[in-house]
Amino acid sequence: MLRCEKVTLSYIDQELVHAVAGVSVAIEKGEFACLLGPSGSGKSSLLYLLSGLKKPSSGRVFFNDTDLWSLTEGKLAALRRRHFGFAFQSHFLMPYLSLLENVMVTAPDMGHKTRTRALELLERLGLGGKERRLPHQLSGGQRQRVAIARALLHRPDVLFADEPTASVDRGTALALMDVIRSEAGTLVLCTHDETLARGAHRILTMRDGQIVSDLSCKLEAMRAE
Amino acid sequence: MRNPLSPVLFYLRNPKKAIPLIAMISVGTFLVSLLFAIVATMQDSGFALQSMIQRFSLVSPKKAASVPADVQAKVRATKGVKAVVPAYELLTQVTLGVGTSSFRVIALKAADTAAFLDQTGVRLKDGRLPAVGAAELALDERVMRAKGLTLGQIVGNSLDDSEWLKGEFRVVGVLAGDVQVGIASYEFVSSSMEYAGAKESLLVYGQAERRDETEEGLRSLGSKEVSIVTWGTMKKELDSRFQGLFLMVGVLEAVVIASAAVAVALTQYVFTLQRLPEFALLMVSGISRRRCVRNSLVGLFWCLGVGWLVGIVMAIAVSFMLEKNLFAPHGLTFGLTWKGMAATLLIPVVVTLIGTVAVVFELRRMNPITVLERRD
Repeated sequence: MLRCEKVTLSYIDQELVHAVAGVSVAIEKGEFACLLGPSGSGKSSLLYLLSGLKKPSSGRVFFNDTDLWSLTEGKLAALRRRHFGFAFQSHFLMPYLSLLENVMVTAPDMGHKTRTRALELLERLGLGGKERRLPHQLSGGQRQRVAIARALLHRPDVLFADEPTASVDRGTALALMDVIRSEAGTLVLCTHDETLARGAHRILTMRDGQIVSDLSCKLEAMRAE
Repeated sequence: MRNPLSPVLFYLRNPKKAIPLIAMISVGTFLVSLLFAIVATMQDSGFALQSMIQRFSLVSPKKAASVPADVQAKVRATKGVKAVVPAYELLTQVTLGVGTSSFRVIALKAADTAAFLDQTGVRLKDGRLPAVGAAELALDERVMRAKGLTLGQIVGNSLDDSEWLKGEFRVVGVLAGDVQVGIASYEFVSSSMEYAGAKESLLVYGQAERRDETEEGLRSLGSKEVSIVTWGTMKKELDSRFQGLFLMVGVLEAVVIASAAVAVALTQYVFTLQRLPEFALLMVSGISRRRCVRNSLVGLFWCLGVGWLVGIVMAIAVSFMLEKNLFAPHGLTFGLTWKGMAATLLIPVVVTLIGTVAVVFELRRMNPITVLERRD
């Protein structure tokens, strides 16, 4: 479903730095892949490359066999809007929009079904009845839940989540992960928290821009044991 | 439910941002349209007070007491000249809404008065014409309003130092017509001590269909001995008189337009910078860059439209009040002009140009990931 071939992301910071160095990886439909690694290991950069948010310095990225960077900027944006969802460490809610409006802000349509779906998601995330409130009336954790609802609204084929639960306590984080996992078709999660990786089908550990271990087989084996 | 991506929503939900933008546009629009209206009124009233020259030309001696006989003969021989009438020009001062202007009162022989009224298309609306040899005036109704006079009142510098009419004149008639005129008695002026040094001029009536030809002919007679006033020379003089004012007002308007436009465009640019995380999130989520640019600009256009309308409504309201309290008592009309309103459109046009360049530049070069990573 999602794969990259020998992708490199380089930039010059006094000297040439490879944030991602020649990584090849394929993620299957329905897979929960966790990018694990310390800060600066390149996991966020790889997530941006896989989601078409950053253009690789070399190598190619495919979604359903479409080379993302062969598309025009408009078509790539449309693909992201239709097939991908994004949750970040910060919520990036729009302060002047209600919770419901924030959830629906990137939705392709504003119809009754979308609205019902948004209300259901808010309910599932413990924000039922608060849809008319503004972000400043919520706690940090509640705002993060709204951001997750926004990412899940259109049932994305792939949800890209970059430390989405970093600003909430562990209990809430695990509860949010349950919702994310049940709603996202395919999940690519960046985290440095190993407990969040527990349910992953695959754990890709990164260091210095490279995948140093791919634990998919081992996980299956461990689960089987 | 309102579309959360509606460009207007940002300003509707952020009145503290919308109001300063709208206020700047409104004040700019208001000032420019009002300045135009004031200048237009001054120009209109200036032309109106000299409008009699559209119906006759004036030949006045520069040094002698009357126009030399040879010049008189040339005047009579000029093509298209219908009649030549001796007259004295008396000047009075008329206070306008803004400033003052001079107005000619023509002292005519009783025998020439009917032809004068016919030539100028003016009729006696109330009262009577000045009696032969009497210190009396008949004045245009608008001039009377502007001077605050009523029938029977006396006017002159013996009562009011600032008045240019010498001695005392009683207002005995009210005149009405397309052009504004004032009539006094030739016989009185020629025998009056106050007007002892007055110079006798000639009123030249031309044939309407040969006006240009007549004016051309008269102008060629201008010399060291006589001065010629035709509608052409009068327009030229008035235009040059207003030129300085127009230049001053034009500079003032340019400053107002530029200040308002730059202030609005910069404020909008600051708002766009403040909204970068919002636009970055939208772009990452698949909303096109073009749509984000459009969203920012349509919001600005909406503010421009509202601000412009508010400015025009304010200007209409204030001009109505000014006309009622300041101009109408002087017999003047005051109102916004199409030219003035068109000039105010320069504000939204300049804002649109600056705003579009700034927003497009900022959003096109923006890297959404950099913004979301807060590395800007």
